[in-house]
Amino acid sequence: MVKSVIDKFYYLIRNRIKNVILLVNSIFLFIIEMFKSFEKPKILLKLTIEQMYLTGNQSLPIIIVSSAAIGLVTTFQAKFQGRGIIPDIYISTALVKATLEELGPLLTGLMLSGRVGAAMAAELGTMKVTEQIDALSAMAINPFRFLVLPRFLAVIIMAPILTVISEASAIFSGYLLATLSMNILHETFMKGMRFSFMPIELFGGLIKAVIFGIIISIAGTYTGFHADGGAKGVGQATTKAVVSASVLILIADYLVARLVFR
Amino acid sequence: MISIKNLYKKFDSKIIYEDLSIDIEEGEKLVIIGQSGVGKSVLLKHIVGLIKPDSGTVSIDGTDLGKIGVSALFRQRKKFGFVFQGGALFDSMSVAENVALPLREHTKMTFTGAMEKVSEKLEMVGLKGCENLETAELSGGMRKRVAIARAIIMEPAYILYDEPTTGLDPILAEHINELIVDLNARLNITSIVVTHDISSAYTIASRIAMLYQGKIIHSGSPQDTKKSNNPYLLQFLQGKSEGPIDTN
Ligand SMILES: Nc1ncnc2c1ncn2[C@@H]1O[C@H](COP(=O)(O)OP(=O)(O)OP(=O)(O)O)[C@@H](O)[C@H]1O
Ligand SMILES: [Mg+2]
Repeated sequence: MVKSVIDKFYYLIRNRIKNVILLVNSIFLFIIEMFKSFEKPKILLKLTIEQMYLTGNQSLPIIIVSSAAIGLVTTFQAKFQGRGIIPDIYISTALVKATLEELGPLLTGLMLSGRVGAAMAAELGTMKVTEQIDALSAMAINPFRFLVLPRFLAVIIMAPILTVISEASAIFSGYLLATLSMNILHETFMKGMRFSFMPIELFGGLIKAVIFGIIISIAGTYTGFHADGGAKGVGQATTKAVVSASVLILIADYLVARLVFR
Repeated sequence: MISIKNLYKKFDSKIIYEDLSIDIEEGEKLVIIGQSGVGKSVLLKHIVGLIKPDSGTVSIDGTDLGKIGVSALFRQRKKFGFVFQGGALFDSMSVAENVALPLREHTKMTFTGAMEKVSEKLEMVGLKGCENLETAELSGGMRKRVAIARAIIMEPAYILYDEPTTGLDPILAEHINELIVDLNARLNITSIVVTHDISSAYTIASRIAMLYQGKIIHSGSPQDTKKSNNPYLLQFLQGKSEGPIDTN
């Protein structure tokens, strides 16, 4: 009795591990296939620019608004938690450090995965289940070059750009809050910002953004390409893309932080 | 020439082909008939390498698709036009963009040149002036015909039609049948047509093949087919629910 339970458990675990290995292998092959499909740079460039435009268009408003909100909260907390003991000059320091290292890239990554990764998975998943991807292959157009590579490139180019915009939005909203309602002088805010600014933090944040971009685009395109079973399958692919990208982004965030900001 | 030899294919545990072999000669108009779910669409997908056999070979003009790399496979596919059963139109593109896509990808044709060709092909399928419609605005039969226009735009050596006339009214269906015959006669295009429409089959075919339980159980000219006394074929052609065919 006990033995059979243990056997069952062992069997389940082994199956799980086997599935994870198969999945990683399949994602790996997917990425190789994508790189191998590179050709016709002119058409590729056109498709990539189209996707960059879409990426920005879909995500810019939500990134600006949510970053501004985060900027407000951070500034408010810095002031409030300081309780007058910490000098005002450190408020902009806290805001800038938190934004460049963590909040900007992370927020942008999560927003992109919810907005752009989901849209990718839904669009490509629909194309998969209605045989549009097969149709591309059948007319000798490599779907990896036509669909995957432009999205991949577009998101890894746009992620750092959007991250910078997000950071600017957060810092600017924090600045407005500090100067307009906290009686902090413009000069104090700027000084705190300047002396705390370290290029490596900005750089580290942008590295993160590129890595998040890779995660988002691969999650979106891979799940889309592997959708099956009609509308339900497309829905599942979309959820999978967002959940897996978000979790991987949080894990990657920690790992990069450990590597860059030692 | 397309040559399929000793093809075996299973999906999970469901056997689709068991030692299926068939050769399709240049200039033929082969019509494939068979019950729903018997594997007609999957056979067309094997011919362009979208699905790989479990064992056996599919060769195009002497090239075994199983033995070549991705780019060589894409080169082979340029010889084909493929009309998917559901049309498989790109829903992010207009009608003209759908039809023009192979031209834009595979030729250096100018935009105006491509559009002229697109109009010509759309007119051939009875969709004159529909260039700027969005795919979402099309009726089922219109989608089918746009798919046909897209498949013939490159004037390929082989065209695979998966139920080209299903969902069309009788007049349009006849028009498409004539188009298939005409393309074959004028450009010596080899056509493989999957259809459930027996009268279409007789109009189009130079040869009719029937797929049943993983094999080609009949292959012959329309005359031979009419005269055949193969009980499976007879039941299918006469559309009887009683007979040797296992309908489950
Ligand atoms: N990609 C796939 N994965 C698993 N099973 C598949 C796949 N494609 C087709 N099948 C199965 O293979 C069988 C043959 O399918 P196919 O589409 O070739 O039938 P068909 O002869 O074209 O039928 P119909 O006349 O209804 O179109 C079906 O049972 C189908 O469920
Ligand atoms: Mg079919």
